Amino acid sequence: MAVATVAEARGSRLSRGFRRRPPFSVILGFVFFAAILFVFMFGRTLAGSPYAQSLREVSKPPSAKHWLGTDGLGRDVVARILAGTGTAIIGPLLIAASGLMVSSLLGIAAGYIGGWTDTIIMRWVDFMLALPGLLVAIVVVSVLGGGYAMAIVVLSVFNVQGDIRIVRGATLEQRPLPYIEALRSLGVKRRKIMFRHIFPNVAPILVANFAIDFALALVALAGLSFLGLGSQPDSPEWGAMLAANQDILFVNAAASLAPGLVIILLAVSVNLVGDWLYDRYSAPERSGR
Amino acid sequence: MTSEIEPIEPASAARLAAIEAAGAMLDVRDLVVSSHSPAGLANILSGVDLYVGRGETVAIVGESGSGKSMLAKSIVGLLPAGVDALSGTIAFDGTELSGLSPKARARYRGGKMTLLFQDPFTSLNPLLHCGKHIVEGLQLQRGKRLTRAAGRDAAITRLAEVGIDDPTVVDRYPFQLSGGMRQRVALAAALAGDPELLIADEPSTALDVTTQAEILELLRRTQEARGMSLVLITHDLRVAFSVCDRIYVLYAGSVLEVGKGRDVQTSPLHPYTHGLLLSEPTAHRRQVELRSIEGTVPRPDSVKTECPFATRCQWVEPQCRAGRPALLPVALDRQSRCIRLDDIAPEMAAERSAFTLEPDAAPPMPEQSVAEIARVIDVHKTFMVSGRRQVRALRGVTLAIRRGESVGLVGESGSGKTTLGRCIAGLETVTGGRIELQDGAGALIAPGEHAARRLVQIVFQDPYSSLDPRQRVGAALAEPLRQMGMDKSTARRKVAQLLHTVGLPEQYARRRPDALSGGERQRIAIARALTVEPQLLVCDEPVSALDVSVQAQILRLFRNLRDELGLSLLFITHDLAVVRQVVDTVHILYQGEVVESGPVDEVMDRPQHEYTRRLIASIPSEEHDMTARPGLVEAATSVVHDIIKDDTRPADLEGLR
Amino acid sequence: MRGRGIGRYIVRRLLLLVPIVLLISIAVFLLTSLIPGGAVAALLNGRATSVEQIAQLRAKFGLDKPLVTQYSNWLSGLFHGDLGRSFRTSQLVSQSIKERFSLTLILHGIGLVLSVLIGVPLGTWAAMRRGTARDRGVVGLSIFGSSSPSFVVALVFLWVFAQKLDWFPLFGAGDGSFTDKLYHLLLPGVVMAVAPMGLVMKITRASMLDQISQDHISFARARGLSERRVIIVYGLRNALIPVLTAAGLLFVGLLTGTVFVETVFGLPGLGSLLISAVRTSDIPVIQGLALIVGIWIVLANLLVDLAYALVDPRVDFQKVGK
Repeated sequence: MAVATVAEARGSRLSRGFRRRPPFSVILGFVFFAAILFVFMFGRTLAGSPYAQSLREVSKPPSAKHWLGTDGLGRDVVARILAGTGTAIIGPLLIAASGLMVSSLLGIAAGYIGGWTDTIIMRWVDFMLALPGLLVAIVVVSVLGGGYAMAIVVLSVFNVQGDIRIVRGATLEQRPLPYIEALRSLGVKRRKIMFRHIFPNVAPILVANFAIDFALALVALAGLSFLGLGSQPDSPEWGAMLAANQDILFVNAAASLAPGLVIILLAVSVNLVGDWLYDRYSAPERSGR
Repeated sequence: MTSEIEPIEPASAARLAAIEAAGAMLDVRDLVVSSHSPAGLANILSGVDLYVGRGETVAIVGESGSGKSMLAKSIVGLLPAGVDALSGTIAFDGTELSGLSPKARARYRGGKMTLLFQDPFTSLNPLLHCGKHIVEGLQLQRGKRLTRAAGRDAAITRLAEVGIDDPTVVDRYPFQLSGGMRQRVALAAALAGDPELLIADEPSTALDVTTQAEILELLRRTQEARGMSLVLITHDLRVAFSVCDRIYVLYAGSVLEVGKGRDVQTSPLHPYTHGLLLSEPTAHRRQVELRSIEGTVPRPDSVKTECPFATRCQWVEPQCRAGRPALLPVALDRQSRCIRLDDIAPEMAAERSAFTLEPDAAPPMPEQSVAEIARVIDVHKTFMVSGRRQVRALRGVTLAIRRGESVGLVGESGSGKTTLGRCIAGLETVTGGRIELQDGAGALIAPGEHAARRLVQIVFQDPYSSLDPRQRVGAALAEPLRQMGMDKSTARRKVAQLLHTVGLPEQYARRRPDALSGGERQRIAIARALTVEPQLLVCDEPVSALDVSVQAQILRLFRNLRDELGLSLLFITHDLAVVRQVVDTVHILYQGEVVESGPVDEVMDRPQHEYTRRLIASIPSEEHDMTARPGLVEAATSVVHDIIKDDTRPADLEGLR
Repeated sequence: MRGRGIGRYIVRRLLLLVPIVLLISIAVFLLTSLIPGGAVAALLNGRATSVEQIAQLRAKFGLDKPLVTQYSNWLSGLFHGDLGRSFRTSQLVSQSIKERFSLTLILHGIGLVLSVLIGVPLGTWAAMRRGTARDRGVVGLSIFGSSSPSFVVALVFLWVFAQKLDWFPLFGAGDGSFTDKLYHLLLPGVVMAVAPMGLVMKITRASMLDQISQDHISFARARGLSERRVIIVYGLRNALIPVLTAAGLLFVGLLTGTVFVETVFGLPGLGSLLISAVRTSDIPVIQGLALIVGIWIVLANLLVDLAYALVDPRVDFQKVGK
């Protein structure tokens, strides 16, 4: 059998892959994300107070003093966008992180242990995935009273299933491989195999998935706030700003379009990085025959 | 289906004369192919010449990394993205192809030349039924569309040509057919355009042994019937000898030797070919010593300025590294790239004759009184597939393995050999019967029990997934030791010891698997199995994923382990030659049952069962095997003497870089 | 062989509707019982009322009976096609749904058709010219599309096309005639298509890239088949299988998109109905809509599975089961 032809070529490609530089767009995305992060940590009040109202300067279009104009209560749009980085980072971060943690545990367990553990977990996952997540989240969040924290909890619950399925898939790919069977044969304990061998080999996909989850959570959270179900309508959260400033769309478009654009840019940036990571680590090794 | 493959005379005088008169079909000169990537330019072929006459069958023999597949693809103009033919000419039937636009080049495919792929499981479109594959090729040439009925009839005719007489195959989808059938369909599809040149890239390697022989036979017949030129790409010299008129030996992107099949076989004129011939295990007799070529195949770029084989050649001298040798004619219809040929030819001949004349090794027969280490008693194993279908992998197998004995399980796919091995190793459970393992004290243990771990271990086929890619070698070997309670420093010493046992230097402990070659990885896998000091090693096709020149190294290792450590081996393989070299007692499996058993020499020299006979008959060109015909060796030696006496061959180097 | 299996398979899948309907409705009932202060508090919306008035309201809507009774009443109503009355408008829930159904359906239709008609060709086009500027352009487009929340896109389009360029009407669903309705729904439909289009482009491209590197494509070329045939019959047909699988995701995405798009454009569809129901804790309406969504999803998945099996001869109905 000339598996050798494929096999020999495969070996060298694997070592080459790890040193490829990311394309320019991915770097840009990473930089943008870093910039938002920086603002979140240090510069949220850089452009002045996001709450300072000024009834004389209500709904003014962009000018030298207010680069993106003012909103319906005379507040500076730029200041509010900068302030909004907080809700834009924390919420999605929490949602993605909870997804990572729960899915590593449940996904690897379902994939490796199999049997009833797998069946139970996957039935739940399949059921939840069949639901229109955001739709149900809308209903649930509104029924339970709304609010940023509630939105995060509900979205976390709905996010986890997709991650579990991905981790389980990656685990299933590793499980039948000879090196795992050899470890079993040598008597290495199951828990050790799962977390010292399977987890490190599955980790790259987890990281890529984290980024993609972050972007999805960002958009979902903003959507809930847009509908008035997330943050309070008055807070400088980007989604809420969109909704609140919808009325003055034709007076100062920047007041609602700018937060929207920032949402898109952040989501795109994180998606770029996530997609690149995903491609790098999950593409099947094909030899260059 | 016949059990005897009729040998033809590939190089009869009449045939040769006819070929010469017909002229050139393909003339490739000085072809350079490289791949360019962000990492830079990497050579795949470094100036290759190839000549194929009309109606001639030429073999290109090479291991992995030789560039043989890329050569095939460049001829038909299907190089993948990122790989280009940088220089050289490809002349087909007098017309130069390399300057043509892709569209013009495409016109040559199908009707003039075509390429048959290696893996029949991926080369057919899963959504089209078999007839369609053929009809679409037919319509290409005719220009007008065939009616449904006419197309179907034509397809049935074409399928008959490739040996499929059942007309219902036309309507079936590829996934409903076996590998051998698929390859026949693929061949019919390739021939639909009636090409004058067929390039077959390892057409039988992905198939079972018996099917391999059938497909090769089919190719030969078809080639003769149509009078087309055939280029056969293979890694197996024996296949090349049995089917082809002339042979090109390709190594690391360069042609090292060219000659007629029989000539190359009887007297190879390059150390590489010589080494290949000697290291391919034979199924004829058990060799005393397993020869191999040390080292691994280098990248073409790293040997640009020297003889490509210099890094592994046992006759290497400084002059071999001073510059790249040229491929020169060294005898009638023979070329070689070895500049030391004059000096070493007699040595090569001497090695060959010593090899041929050496007595057979007698496989050690353990005494009848030696205790058994494993007993398989009427074992059945049934699998559930897709929740509904049942597959009976084992149907009542009984055998025993004695201490220190090396037992072989031979069969093709579906025979159940791998399943049985895995059951003994405790990775699967049996659905009927039982397996008993017996330790030194006579206690009975079942596979899968905790105590069985120190009794039985397993080595797998694919060296590339046998090791955790993220773990260093030292850690991988120490892990089972620490699991047993060993402390760090003792473990480290044991790891060094294990590496030594498998023939690797201590420093390898710090390396990661992706820095190792296939052969090295397999050694590590063996070392890992040995950490718990098992008494029986189950080896599941341990060498079939390795290059020929490396296989013998690993087989030698197994022999040593058996001799020095007293290990029992359960050797699972489809390769009869491998079995002959490593095994004492062999069991032939067919569809879950043992059809024949006995001492390996007995079974292979005097097979009783119909299936065993068929297996043995499938081994290519056994009667041409050098080791079986001492008379040939004498003839070869005289040829060599002629070469030495001939002074008209200039010896020069291709410039000094 | 295949024909015989399909009928039974469809019936099996449709039977699944029963447990799903039950599950969804029970879940919603349980959920609404969690509303802080009860449904009545939400109805009153903070207005001060006397205890008697509260009791009256509860009796009126049947909220004073135990949960199980309320549920079984609802179920028996379901069998007669009666989904109850809205708390807010007192209109029959089934009536509200009927009125708004076609609008949402048209929106979905436009979104789906556009995303496939544009997404698949662009994705294929990009895959054939991998690494070039057009490929990068398409990839960029798909990332932007799939990362853009529908409400943002809705606002941007509204501003650009409706206000600045005055190409489309701003709000509402027109005055009844079909062409006018379509005119009003075109812009929202395009907005709905943006995100799914990005996804379709991405998956098509990835799938085509995967196909192109496969042996059967190279072998087809080696046999001299025309490039067009190679791409379409060997490449695209095989590549569409994963795209079909993702179609299931598409249906779900469109459902969510509807809600936002209808809100921004002020369209009287099922999505905006859900929002107003959710905001006022209008339980019967939420109940009814949840039911519709559940049925919709089951049917959509069934259609996708059927299409999948039709395209791929390897799928055997006897074996497939959910």
